Amino acid sequence: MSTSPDTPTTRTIKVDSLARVEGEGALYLKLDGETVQDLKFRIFEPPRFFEAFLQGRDFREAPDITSRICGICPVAYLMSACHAMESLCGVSVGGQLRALRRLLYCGEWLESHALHGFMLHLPDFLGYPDAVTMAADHRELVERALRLKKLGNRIMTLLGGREIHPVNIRVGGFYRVPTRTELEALCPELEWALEALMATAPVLAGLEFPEMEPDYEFMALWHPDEYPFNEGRLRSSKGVDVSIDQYDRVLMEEHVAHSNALRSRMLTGHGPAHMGPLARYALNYPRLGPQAKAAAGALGLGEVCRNPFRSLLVRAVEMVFSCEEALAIIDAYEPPDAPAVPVEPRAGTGFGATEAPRGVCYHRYTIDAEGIIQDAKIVAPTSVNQRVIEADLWQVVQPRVNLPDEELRLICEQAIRNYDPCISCATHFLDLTVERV
Amino acid sequence: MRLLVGVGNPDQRDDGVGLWVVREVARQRPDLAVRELRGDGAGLLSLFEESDDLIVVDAVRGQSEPGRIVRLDALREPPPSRFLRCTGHTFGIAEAVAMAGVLDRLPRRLLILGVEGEDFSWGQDLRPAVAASAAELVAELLAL
Repeated sequence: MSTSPDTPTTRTIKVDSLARVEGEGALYLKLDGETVQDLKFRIFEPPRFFEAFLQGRDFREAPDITSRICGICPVAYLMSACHAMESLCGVSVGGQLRALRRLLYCGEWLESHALHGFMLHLPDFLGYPDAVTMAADHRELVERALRLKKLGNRIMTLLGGREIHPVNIRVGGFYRVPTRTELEALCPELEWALEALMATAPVLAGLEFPEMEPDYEFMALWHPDEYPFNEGRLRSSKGVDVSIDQYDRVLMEEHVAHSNALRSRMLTGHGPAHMGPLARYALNYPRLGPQAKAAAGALGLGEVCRNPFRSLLVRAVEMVFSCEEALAIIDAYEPPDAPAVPVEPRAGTGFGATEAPRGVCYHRYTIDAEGIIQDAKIVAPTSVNQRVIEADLWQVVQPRVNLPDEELRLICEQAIRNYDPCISCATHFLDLTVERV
Repeated sequence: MRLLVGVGNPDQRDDGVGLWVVREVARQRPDLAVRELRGDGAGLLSLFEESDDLIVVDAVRGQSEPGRIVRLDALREPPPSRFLRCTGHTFGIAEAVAMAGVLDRLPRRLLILGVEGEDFSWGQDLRPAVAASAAELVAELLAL
């Protein structure tokens, strides 16, 4: 961090990177006395490399290609691409194949939430600058987090063929499905994870969080029978309720002057939309399993949580849910006759949306009769959440303008980290500039 | 058993140099143990459970001229977190080494081979200076 005087009354503080956020972006604050005059949260998104890269490729390649967009949530891209292509081709994947897809998602949520919740987010509330420093005093917590993450990776490796950039997923299902024995081998560790998470609840419930409860428009997938992973309608807490093929009528991406990234804005008159764990939880609490609900109770959560800093707690609930759901899926598992259903291309446009750990990951493809991709659109949840992150930052900064710059920087970092913004899907380093006029 | 670990993103040009090197080594010597990481430090911590002798090949940014190879004995000289730039993740390779130290999980040997990258934009090719150094590293690793 460097401090340099611009004018006798202005200070500019530049921070090399925002610690513990995936990837990089930038935050600019202009403070006039005790008033926030300007605030811009910027993410540098690369040119639409993958959307362009997909054009001219076979429709079956979309899952593998798009899964490379993010090293943390490849499943979200794999699944959204598969669902989009399947809907386009008039195919529905049900039964055990559908259940295995949910199990794959359990793995991704576990590994992503364990990394973010315990290694990147928790240090904020235990008063440590990072997980390494925290580990010196809370070794057991960190060991537990690493083991939880490893369990998530193990599930992803079993179903995806490998941990990074899974190769066993295809439009229509899988290349190979696991045996019952292979799945059952996961059960002891899943049982341990449930116990470990419940044992962690008192620590998390005792944390102190900054007070803040904006009247968010939560937006997530909604399914009548299950907590959403792969399928559902796009709903919001303020009245949006559409099928996924109507996504583009609800949210539109646009360029903003201070960012290379596209960011989404709502076309329905409300917003900004808030996606991710808090939104999923608020819209789908009744469909959590009994242990997840018990965890929510132990963490002091009601059926809706509007404090973004407490998203750490909701992630913990979703980790319990992932373990509970994984055990139920494994218990009911009978290997399907075929690892995939056949999918033949037909010309048209298809839509897919699934719940990445950070929120709804939306894909839209147009292919021709030979299955060649003519057009692709991919929206990561972080693109949508940029606006609500910026809105949160206004609320966080305004009452704290008199804090020293370093303290202001820390609270801003925390406010951004609440969203676990997977900026690596879209960007590089984050700089923070505070200008005091 | 020695483990050769390539780190990086194959779709961000020179960022993928570590992966390029280990894939090439594996192609020529399928008997060698090779792993790939996107830059996730927790993943590297897991690999410390598989082997106590690791060589990590990764991209480096901002140290010197493109293609320069940097050798670092991570047990003697912990890497600074910004050294291994390719980890867009901020619990990256450097943090994993520091964490392993706190948790008493450090391997017996941990050599980091960094290649100074030039271009980290989206794309799949290595810049010439980086590609030349990558080939040099492949030869070096095959000779070990």
